[in-house]
Amino acid sequence: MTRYSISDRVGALAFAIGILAAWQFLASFEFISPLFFPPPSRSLLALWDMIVNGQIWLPLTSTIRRMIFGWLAASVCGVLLGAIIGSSPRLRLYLEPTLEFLRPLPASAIIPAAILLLGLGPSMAISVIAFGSIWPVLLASVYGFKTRDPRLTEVAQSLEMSWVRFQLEIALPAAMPSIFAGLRVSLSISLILAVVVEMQSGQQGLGQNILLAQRNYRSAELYAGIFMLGMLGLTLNSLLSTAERRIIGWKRNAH
Amino acid sequence: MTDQQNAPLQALERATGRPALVLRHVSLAYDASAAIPILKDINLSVAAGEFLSIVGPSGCGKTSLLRMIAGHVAPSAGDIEFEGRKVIKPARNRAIVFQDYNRALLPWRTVSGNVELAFEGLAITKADRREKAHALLATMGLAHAAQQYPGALSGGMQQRVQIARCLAQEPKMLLMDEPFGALDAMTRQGLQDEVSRLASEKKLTVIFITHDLEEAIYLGDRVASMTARPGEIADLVNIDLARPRNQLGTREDPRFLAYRHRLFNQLERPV
Amino acid sequence: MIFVRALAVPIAFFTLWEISGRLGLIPQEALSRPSLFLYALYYALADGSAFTAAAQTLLTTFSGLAVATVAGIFLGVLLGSRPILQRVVGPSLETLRPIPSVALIPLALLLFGFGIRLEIAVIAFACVWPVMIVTIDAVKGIHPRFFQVADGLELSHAQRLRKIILPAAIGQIWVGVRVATGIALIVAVTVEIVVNPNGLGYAMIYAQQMFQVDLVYAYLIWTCLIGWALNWLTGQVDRRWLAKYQMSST
Repeated sequence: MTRYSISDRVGALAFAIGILAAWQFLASFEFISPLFFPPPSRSLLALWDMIVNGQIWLPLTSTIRRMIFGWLAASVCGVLLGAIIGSSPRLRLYLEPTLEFLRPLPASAIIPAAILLLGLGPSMAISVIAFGSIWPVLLASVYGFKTRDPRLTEVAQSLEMSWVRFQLEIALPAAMPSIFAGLRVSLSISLILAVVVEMQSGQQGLGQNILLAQRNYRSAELYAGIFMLGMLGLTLNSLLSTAERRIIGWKRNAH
Repeated sequence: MTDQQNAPLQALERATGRPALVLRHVSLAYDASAAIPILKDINLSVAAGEFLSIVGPSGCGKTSLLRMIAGHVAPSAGDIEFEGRKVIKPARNRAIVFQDYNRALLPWRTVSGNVELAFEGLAITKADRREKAHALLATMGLAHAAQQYPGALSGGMQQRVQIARCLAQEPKMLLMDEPFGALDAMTRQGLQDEVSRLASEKKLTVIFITHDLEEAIYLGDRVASMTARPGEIADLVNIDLARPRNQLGTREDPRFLAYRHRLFNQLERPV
Repeated sequence: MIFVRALAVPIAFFTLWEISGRLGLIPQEALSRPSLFLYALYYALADGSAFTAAAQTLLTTFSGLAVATVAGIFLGVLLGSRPILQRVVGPSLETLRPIPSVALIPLALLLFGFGIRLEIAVIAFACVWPVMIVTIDAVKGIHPRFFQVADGLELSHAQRLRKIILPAAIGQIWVGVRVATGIALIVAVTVEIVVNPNGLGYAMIYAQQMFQVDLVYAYLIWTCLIGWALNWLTGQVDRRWLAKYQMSST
């Protein structure tokens, strides 16, 4: 991680402002098409409007709710299954080849089948999001539980630890770094799938918003929507990072 | 089996006549068809409160021997009895201190948390656990590091934390597998004296593996020297040196040097 | 022996599916059964439509990857070799990174209309990040000694790039490209499902809209196979060609 000095921050900010100012200028004077590249001021205004008259909240919360439900379901199942599979060499022998084969499968490819099965409603949405998001967590959990240092098992045996305590005090904490790596990936996937599902099925949300904006050639709203999605992704990632730091803070101190 | 191996140990007080640990015709092989077993026909009798050092070249099976006594590995032949009962699996009263201390400590728990681990699962409240852990750490001079994570400590301190955790198990026997091998000479000497003191204070039976001959003699009431391929106990020497021992005086004692000579030749003997 | 174990679970799964289907335990309009969709797959392969769809998707995938690789390496070398640039330009780029590539579909639609360019653009955006990031890392990790050698030989910028920077960084860059390849396929199929009448994704959604259940699953399996083959292929390149570029640890 690069350390940023004050002059760095100023320079970076100046650069960003410079780019935006140039864009503003070029679009306002139509050197570039203001339909395709509306001046930033217009997009910001559109965003402001949406916030002020409350139009943003329903789509925003819909998208968030959808993706979080799906992500949580995927995470819990992923960790549990990962714990079971990762801890059992026998299960791994039978299941790992299948898991590896399914790894490169595009999660969105499941959508057409899901629509046939569940229609175009919320249950399809959450199922698709959960199904797509579970793989990174599952694979990471399996890895975390299977690559546990055998020495820790011996310590637990020496202390005559019960199975339950072993899982909670040793197996799970040891797997946490891997699990979090998986959670980070699955969070991004949840967001992506939430947006895709909205675009595909017409359900309320930020994804649906920007698609509609495009159809109506309201490019300022389109850019505003994209900006919101970027912000959403960033915020959720930060929250996860903060949680990660709280839970695996010990990793930083390792020699 | 020489007379020495069965001879009573005059240097120690013995509460009862029964030895704490007995190994009878213990062998270990990878599988039945292996030409040369890892360990062959080990017979050993260790008294309660005795400090037994085991030296030998790499590959002589001393680590395997320790792990069998701890209960992590089952012997291919023969049996092991601790306090009259057969050893079949690991137990709290036979604490084992590993050489790779960084892998034996939980990196996600503080020093105190690691020691408390030994108190968990017993019927003690959380507050009591913390107190007992703190008391133990204090006796080992580690109280100041209680809230630190193992990863931030030096090697010597990490090893002491592991020892503290093992002592928290309130064991009858301490098994140490080259515990100071990864540490520098000065730290090693400090820890040697500390272990010696703890062992006598808590009246622990200790089995201490090392490849350092002088360390073995310095610490032990008896030293067993092993040969490799197959692993056998070649010699068992009573160390009749005064306790408490000290790093300068004891090591210059002519008897120390005599023991050293004897065991050195033993170890150098071609296999 | 290993094969048997590996196939045991999938075979059991498909057998169960088939039996449930024949017994009428599962809704056939929604779930089909293996004998039917495998037959549909066979048919689609036989009349070439599966291959056409795959070719279309792979064309856009590789085109997008190519654009992303060039752009990613360019930006990566630029930012990696000049820390000042990374500190000034980097943060602005970083604000673009969290934008999910799918969010750009409507924008690309606006700019390019339906068609291949839209798909390539979205793929390129999604894939430039892994390539750029590993390139920056790789360039920064080049031992200064190599640059001193370049100075001593008075190499021009282009020569420096070609003879020193790229060979030294290629191993790491390739890892980024591998990651990008996986992403590229996923994004391609996603764009095809949502907007673009092209390729594997469109084949699936079209089948869904026509209620051709068997075809949906047939293409799902086919897409899976393509994805796996692509993954395997890039892994092979790893092993064969790039071994000589691996430097021993300095």
